[in-house]
Amino acid sequence: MKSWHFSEQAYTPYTDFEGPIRLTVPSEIVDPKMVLQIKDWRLEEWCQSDELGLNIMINEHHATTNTLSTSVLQDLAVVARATKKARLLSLGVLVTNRMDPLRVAEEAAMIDILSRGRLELGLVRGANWEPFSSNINPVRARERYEEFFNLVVKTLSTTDGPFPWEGEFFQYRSVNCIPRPWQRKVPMWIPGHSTDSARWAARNDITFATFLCGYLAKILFDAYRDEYRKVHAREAPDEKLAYLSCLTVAGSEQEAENRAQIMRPYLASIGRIQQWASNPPGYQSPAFYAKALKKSRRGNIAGPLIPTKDGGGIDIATCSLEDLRNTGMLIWGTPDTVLEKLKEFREGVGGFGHLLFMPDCHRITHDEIMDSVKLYANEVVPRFEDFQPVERRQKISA
Amino acid sequence: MGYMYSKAEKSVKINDIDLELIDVGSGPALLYLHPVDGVSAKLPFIEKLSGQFRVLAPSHPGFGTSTLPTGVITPDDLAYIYLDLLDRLDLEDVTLVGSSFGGWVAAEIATKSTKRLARLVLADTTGVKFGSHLQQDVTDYFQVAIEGLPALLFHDQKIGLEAFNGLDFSSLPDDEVLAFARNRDSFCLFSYNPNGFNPALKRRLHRIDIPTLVLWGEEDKIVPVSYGKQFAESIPGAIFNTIPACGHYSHIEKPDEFTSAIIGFANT
Repeated sequence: MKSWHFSEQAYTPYTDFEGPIRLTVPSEIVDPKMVLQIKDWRLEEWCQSDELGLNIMINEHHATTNTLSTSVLQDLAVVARATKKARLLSLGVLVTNRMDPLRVAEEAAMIDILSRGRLELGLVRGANWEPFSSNINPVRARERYEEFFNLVVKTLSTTDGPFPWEGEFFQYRSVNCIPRPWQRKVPMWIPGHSTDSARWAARNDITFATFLCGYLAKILFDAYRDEYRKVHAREAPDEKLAYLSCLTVAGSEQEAENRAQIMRPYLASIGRIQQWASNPPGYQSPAFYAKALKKSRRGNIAGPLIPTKDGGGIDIATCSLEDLRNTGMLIWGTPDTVLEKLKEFREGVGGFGHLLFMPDCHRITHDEIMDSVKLYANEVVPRFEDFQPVERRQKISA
Repeated sequence: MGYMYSKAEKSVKINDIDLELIDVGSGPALLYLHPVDGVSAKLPFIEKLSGQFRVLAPSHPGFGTSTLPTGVITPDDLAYIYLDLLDRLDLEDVTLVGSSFGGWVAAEIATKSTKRLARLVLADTTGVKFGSHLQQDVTDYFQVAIEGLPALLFHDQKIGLEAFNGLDFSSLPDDEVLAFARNRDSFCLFSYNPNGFNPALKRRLHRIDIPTLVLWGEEDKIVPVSYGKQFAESIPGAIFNTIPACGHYSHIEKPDEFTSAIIGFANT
């Protein structure tokens, strides 16, 4: 199993304010000097991970204090120059906030060269609040995403001169990406939380990642494997599936628990969003939305519970730390318990080949992050070799 | 109580689109174009108008149960579909009435062809950019939670809440809740970007060459009276009238004033 060190590069923990962390926060509360300090810390942590043999993942969001990265490719250009071995995963470029797929392909190709072929390129449709800052119509954003994706893949793989593109959403008279990327085929990724996304990824034979969703991952991975089998007439390898969890490792169980306690407000902060931004038109089908409206008075759709192994659900605001680690939301412990919990979760969801781990949630310090990641790389990762292939007994539903 | 949409009994095929259609009353033809929340034959203003007119009120493509083909993405596209509808039903001397987003579509139609139209009524209509680039001319419907819609669209909160069934979706028929969700998606498709206007429409309004009434709720919070005045001034000879103590949905909030203004205008 490959490990990818991810950070949201959040500013939120370093300031005190109430209410939503997306769209309407005045930028005055974000001190550029503190932003630079946070960027320095995160870069140093990623450089350590590079030396420890881990890989690196970066994302982007817009108009939020929770992600100090408004261009994943810009950050990756910096990291490409500062690291030597790590694979560099963009997960990803926010398609909802990018008007020009050709520019994205050009920038990605350059990063692949600067990193001597270490780029893995994920394209993300965009979180629910992103259409408000990008002004891209949320309705038909999925169709737009698919055309964007196909154009980027074709641009990166076409080396015999220009081609025209006259699609529904994008039109170019001449697409010609110079220089071409270092790798002949840049690995492509997509994150998602729906079986539709999982099946689309399977059909396109690209890596599917899901984030912080507990045992929903099993349903998504099952859908991916099922579609993959149908379309490609073989089993999907574990390397095509990825899961993202918060994670902290410490020398003692008590210390790890203390760290987990410090980190957990991050999970609650994700939901600090305006009601109107939580469900833009087009992000759910009208049938799905209508069903939710019938159930919830005044159209307020409550955040879903995180599915557990036994088919129940936990509320991340009120559940125990033990619940969080058993559902793969925040895995914490000594190297032994982290290994055990990871093994249990990985087997419980049917196996995956990539763990995207986030060690820097909320107010955990830079020194604690350095220590935690070092323990993880030196004392947990080498023992992944003991992991057996996951036996899949569950019947796959259509 | 109830909702502002209910399923119509008829439908009509326009090209590849199945268009849900209210067709009630008799007399000269009146084509009514609805706002985001749709239209229902049960609404008092439809009943009142049908005493004087043959009222035709379609659900726009993508609204109610009307189908939405790929490629229909702007109010401009809707305008051509309704010109086809007028041809298809061979209607003449039509009084064209639109509320809010429906008024935008009506204005688009009248800038293209008034061949089958006798009069135009634009109520609390969006669709044109008049103001500075540093302000939103049309209040952003999408930055309001559902709970805020009655207050946004109505002056009288009680009437607003009733129009949304007290915001209780659980007791509404399934097809009306589905229409609410579907209308919201389609409205977004047609009016999200730019927010509630067609940059080309302002320069076309001078083409409207039929008697036009611009009718406005004095307490409209989506597009204020000053916007309505500019709309009227942009259409040659247009009359501007307001309805006191009335919000954006004048057709629901003040059905008597709304219908008598239309009937009075039609008789001039």
